[in-house]
Amino acid sequence: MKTPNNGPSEVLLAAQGIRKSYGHLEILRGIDLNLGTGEHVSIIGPSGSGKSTLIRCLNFLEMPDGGSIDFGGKRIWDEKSPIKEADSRAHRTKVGMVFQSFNLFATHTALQNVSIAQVHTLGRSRKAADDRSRELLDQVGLSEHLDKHPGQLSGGQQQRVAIARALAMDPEIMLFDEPTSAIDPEMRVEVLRVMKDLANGGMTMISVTHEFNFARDAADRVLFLAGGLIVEEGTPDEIFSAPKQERTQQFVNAVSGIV
Amino acid sequence: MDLAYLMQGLKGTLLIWVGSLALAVLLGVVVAAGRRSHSTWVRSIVRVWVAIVRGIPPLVWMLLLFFGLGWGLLGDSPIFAAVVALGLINSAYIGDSINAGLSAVPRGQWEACQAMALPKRVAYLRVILPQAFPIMLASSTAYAISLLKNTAIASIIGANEMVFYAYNTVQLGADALTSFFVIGLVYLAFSVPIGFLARWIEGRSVIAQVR
Amino acid sequence: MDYIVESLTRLLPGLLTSVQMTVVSVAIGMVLGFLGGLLLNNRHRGVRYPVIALVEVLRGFPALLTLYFVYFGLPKLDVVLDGFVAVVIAFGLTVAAYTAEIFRAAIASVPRGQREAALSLGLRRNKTIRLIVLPHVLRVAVPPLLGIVVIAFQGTSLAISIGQLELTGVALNFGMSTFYLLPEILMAGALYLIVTTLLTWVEIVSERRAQRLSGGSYQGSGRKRRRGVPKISTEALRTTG
Repeated sequence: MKTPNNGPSEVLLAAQGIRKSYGHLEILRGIDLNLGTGEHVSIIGPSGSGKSTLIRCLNFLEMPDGGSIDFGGKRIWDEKSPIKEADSRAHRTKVGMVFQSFNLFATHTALQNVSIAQVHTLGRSRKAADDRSRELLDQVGLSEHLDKHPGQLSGGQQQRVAIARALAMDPEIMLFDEPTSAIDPEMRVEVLRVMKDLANGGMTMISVTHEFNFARDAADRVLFLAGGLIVEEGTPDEIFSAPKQERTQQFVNAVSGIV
Repeated sequence: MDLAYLMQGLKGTLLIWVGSLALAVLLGVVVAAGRRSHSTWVRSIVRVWVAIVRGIPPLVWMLLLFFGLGWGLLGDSPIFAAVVALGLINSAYIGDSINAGLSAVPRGQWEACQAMALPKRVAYLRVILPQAFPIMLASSTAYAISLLKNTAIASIIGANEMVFYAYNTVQLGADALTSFFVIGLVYLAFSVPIGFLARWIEGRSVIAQVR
Repeated sequence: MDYIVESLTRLLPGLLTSVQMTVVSVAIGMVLGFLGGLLLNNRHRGVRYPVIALVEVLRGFPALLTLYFVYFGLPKLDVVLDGFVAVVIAFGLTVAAYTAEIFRAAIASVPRGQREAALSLGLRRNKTIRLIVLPHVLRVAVPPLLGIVVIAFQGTSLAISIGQLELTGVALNFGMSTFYLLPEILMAGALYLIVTTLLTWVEIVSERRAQRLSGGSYQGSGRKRRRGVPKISTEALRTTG
C-alpha cells in the first residue's frame, strides 16, 4: 500500500447518489463517492458494472440522471440545476482525464498534443507551454519522442503522452479510465510506474483498473462496483485479502486466476 | 480546325461549374449541420429536402427554375438557372460527404477535446477538421467531377457553354465526330488530374486509430 | 384536380417511354458492363489497358455529349439512327462504363479461398463459376447496379435534346404551347420523384439484404466483424450529364 497521508485531509470531491440509465438499462443505481485531497481510489469490477460511466460522470462527459456532485466544497451539479456549458468547461480544466484508448490527437506530434490545451484552454504562451510539455514528457520518459505522431508510438508510449497531456493542465484531480487495458502486457509496466509515482507524489486520483497489483501497491482505498452499485469498499488489503462480500470474493478470485 | 468555339464555351462551362460548386459547398454546410442536428424535426426536414432535391433530374430542375420557379430572377439567364439548379442538387451530396467526414473522426477525439476543455472552435479547427478534411475532400471531389459533366445539361436550356457551342457549329456544318470528341477531351483534361489529386490526398490522410 | 388528371393522362405515355429507354439502355449496359468487368480482371495488360481507356473515356464524357456523338456523329459514317435507338445506344454505353467498374470490383471481391475450396472439392471450372463465384458477385453488385438504374432513369430526360417525347419532352411540348408550362413541368418532376424514390427504396432494401446475407451469422458476438461484402458506392458515380 502507498504511504498513507498524515492528518485529516479535506474532501475534494463528493458525489452523492449518482444515477445513470441508457433507455431502460440502469448503469449506475445510486453511487456515493468521497475523495480527500491527495487520496487515490481504485475502482474495480466486472465489465458493464458502470465503472467507466461513473468516472465519465465526474467530468460530465456523461450527464448523470440523478444525484449531486460537490467539488472543493462547492455544489457544482445536482439533478435540479443542470450545469452550464461554461461551468462544465471550467470544471474540466481542474480534472485531468486519461482514456482507455489514449485519444491522442492524430494530426499532432507528442509535444503539440501536450501543449495544445495549455495554449488554447489555459491561455499560456506557446513557449511557456512547450517548455512545460518538454518537462512533463521528460518526466514520463519520452524526451526522445517529442516530434513523433501518435501513429509512430507504441500503445504504452501513447498513453504516457496522454498522461503528460492531462498533467499539463495542472489538474487538481486525475481520472484514469482503464489506462492499460488497450496496451500490450509488456508495455504496461512503464505506464503503471508513471501512475504509481503520481499517486506517491500526492496527486488526487481515481483509477478504474483491472491491475490488482497496481491497486494493492498504489491505492489508499478500493471500491468494488457491480451491477451499478458499490458492493464493497475498503483498504486494498481488506478488499484483496479479506473481502467480506461473497460477490467480491468471487470476482477477486476469478481475476487472480484462483478458481 | 476552328477552336474558337471551344474557348468561348469553356468560359461558360467553368462559370457554371465554379458557381454551382461554390453554392453547393455553402448549402452543403447547412445540410451537414441539419443532418447532425439534435432536433428530430430538423433532421426530418433535411432528409425530405435531400430526397426531393435528388429525386428530380438536373434538367427538370433547370427547366423549373428557368421557366418560373426563379420568380423572374432566373428566367433571363440560363447560366444562372443552371448554377442554382446544380448547386441545389449537389448541396445534398456535398452535405453528406461533409457529414461522413466528420463522422469518420473517432468519438474519442471529441471526448479528449471536451475533457481538456478546449473551446469548440479550437476543437474543430485544430483537431477534428484536419482529420475529417481529407475524407470530405476525396468524396466531394467525385461529386465535383460529376458536377462538371452535368454542366453540359445547361446547353439544353440555352446556356452558352461548350456543348452549346459545339452543337451550334455542328448545325452550321462542322464535323460532328471531331467537334464533339474534342469537347469530350476537354472534360477529361479537367476530371482526370482532379481524380488523381483526390486519390493522393486520401492516401495521405491521417486519422486516429479506432480500437 | 381536373388539371392533375388531365395532365397525368398526357404525361403517363411519356413516362412509359422514359421507362422503356431505361430498361433497354440498362439491359445493353449490363451485358456490356459484365463483359467489361471480366476483361478488367484479365491477367494480361494488353487486354486490360484498352478496356480501362475505353471505360475512362466513357465515364469522363458527359452522357449528353455521348448522345450527340452517336446521334449526329454516326450518320457521317453512313449509320443513320432512329432517335430512340441513338438514345439507348448512347446511354447503354455510358451505363456499361459504370457497371464495368462495379462488376470488376465485385469479381475481385470473391475471396480466392472460395474458388480454391470449390476446385479442391472437384467441382468443374464452369460449375465453380456458376455455383460459387456468380452468387457472390451478384450479391455484391446488385445494390450499386440499382443505383445505376436510378441514374439511368433520370438521365433519359436528356433525350428531349434530340426531340424524343419522353416524360420531359411531353411536358415541355404541351407546356410551351399553353399557359401551363410551370405546372406541367412540376407534374413531370413529381413523377420523376415518385419513381426515383421507389427505386431508391428498393436499392436500400437490397443493400440491407446483401449485408445481412454476408454478415448475419456473426452478429451478436459482441464485436463488429469486418463485413464479407464490400460496399460499392454509386453516389459518387452520379454523372448523367
